[in-house]
Amino acid sequence: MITKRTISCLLATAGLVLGGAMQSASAANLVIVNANAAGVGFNDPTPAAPVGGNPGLTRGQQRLNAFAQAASIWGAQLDSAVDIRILARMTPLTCSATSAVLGSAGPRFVDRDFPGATVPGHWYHLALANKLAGTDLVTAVDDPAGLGAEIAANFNSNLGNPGCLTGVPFYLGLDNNHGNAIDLVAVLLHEFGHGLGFSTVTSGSSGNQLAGFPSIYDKFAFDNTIGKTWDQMTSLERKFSAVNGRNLVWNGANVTAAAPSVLVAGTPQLQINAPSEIAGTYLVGAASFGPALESPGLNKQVMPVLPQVGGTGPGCNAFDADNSRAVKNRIALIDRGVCGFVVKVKNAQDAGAAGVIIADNVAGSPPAGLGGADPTITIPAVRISLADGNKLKAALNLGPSGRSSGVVARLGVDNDQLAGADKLGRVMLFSPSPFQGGSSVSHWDTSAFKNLLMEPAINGDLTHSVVPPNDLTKPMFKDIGW
Amino acid sequence: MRTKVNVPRSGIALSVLLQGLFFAAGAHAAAPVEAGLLQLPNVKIQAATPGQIEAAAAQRKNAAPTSSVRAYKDKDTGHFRQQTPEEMIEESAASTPMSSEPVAIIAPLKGGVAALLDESFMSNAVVSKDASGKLQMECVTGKDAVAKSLVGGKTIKGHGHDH
Repeated sequence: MITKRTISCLLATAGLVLGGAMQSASAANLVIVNANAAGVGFNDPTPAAPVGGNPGLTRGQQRLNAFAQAASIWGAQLDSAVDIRILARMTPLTCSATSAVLGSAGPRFVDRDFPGATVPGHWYHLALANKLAGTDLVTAVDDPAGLGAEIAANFNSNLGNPGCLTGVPFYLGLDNNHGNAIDLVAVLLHEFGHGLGFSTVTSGSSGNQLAGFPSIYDKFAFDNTIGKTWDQMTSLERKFSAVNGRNLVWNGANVTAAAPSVLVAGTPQLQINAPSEIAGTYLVGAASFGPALESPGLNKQVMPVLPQVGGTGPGCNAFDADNSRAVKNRIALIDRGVCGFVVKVKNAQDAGAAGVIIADNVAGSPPAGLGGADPTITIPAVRISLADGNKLKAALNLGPSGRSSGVVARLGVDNDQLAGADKLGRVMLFSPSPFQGGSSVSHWDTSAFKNLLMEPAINGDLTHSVVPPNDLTKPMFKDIGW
Repeated sequence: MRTKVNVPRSGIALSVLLQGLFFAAGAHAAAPVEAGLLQLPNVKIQAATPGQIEAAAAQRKNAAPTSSVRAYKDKDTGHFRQQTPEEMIEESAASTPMSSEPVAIIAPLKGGVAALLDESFMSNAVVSKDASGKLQMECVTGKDAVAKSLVGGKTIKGHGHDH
């Protein structure tokens, strides 16, 4: 006899079988919709040898497998009963022998005031809106293009061919063993991240909201100077905030809670202790060479390196007697330009300097780091902005001995501040001046360390993980409702 | 000779339901696998219909730029390099701002208000090589930002140009 209990049990079993076959618990299905025509892109029949765990037998299959790998990583971390459809193509994109567009991706729709929306009057990327609504809100019938996909992705099928970043194709392995090549899976994880919710649809350059409504992202973008989130600001305030370097932070509980397990402690900084008129903390760019900054760091007078007879540029030649006397056991202040950073720092080191500050010669903030490599450099160096450099120079009061300036600086790290977070532990959003279209606001700040998936630069040391302790993307997604 | 078995109506209904469920599950698991293609959890691969392919191509043709990733090579060394701050400023000055108007506003049948976005809302990945041969990738948005990035890299993770 079949009882209600038996039916319930059978249905439950069937449900388990069906559910298990279709989707694991607390996961989401991502559907890669191959929109390439026959013979190209994902359907390229060119034979390929399996690489890095990618068993594809053709170039097209390997590309599709890389897309599937990135989608699978995201699918395991998201939770939605609604399929997330990615309209995917690989086509020839703009490139030259020396540079190339790798690809692009983003949301096709945003949605607001739908059933299940956690915050009214805010745009949500459609994949997230569908998850919250528990249904496919914009079907192919609703879609003016008839596509019914939540995300669009188009990547460069010519990469590595002659004339298109010649000789540097995508690494199609799935094992992150990309060496110096371009890891397609990492790039896809990043770009899919934007499509799933890691971006605002409010313009950072104008401050204008999309059709007069903020993004859910804006609810968590908080400016420490203005004291408001982006959805509370005027357009003018948002325009200011978008270039308010390292003062725009993510004010989300999940990210802030996870940050200490992801980011290392210690923010490089320049502390000016005297004279009092310019005392304070200044933003610096760290050097890729020489020793790491330490705490409490180097506390010395700052001495400028002045033009010298026969010199080809600031700090570019072995220091003469005057400059050598000036910088000995001091922090040398050298202008950027003419020669490499490592040349300037090495010359200062050879003259007995204890550290180096490079003052930028181009406006912009926060200052970029100092590139280059020289294993013989043993003194610390940083870059400061042009504006801050001018401020320091104006405060110099050079004594008759040529050994003092009255400007005293501490070059070190603040161990109480996470690398990439503010003093309250809120992770910083990328907000450099001048505004960088597409990079500003919708990424983490580049001062974050460990390097994060959703920084504007896709760094070579990224793992394929989107969760702590490797990454903060999933906590950010939890903040916005995933 | 056919044997007639009496099965309660509820049993038939359940049998059909379970058959359907197991078929659905089995069909998913037993779908023919193309040699070389991975089957991964939480992922489905579908071929777009010819109509969708056409629509996607048309949409791309008419759309504003998406977010993309770019790369840059040093013309002398042939190595990838980063964008200089000067190039960054030049690029930013010329970049097309994100639109504040969607392509279309629609009222989906299931509720809410949806906005169809153009490519100015998408992220572009761009890559460049520095003088030491290291690859640097960045993410920008906007057609003009992409165009500018193609002639020089952006400020990347604290290391900028090396002089």
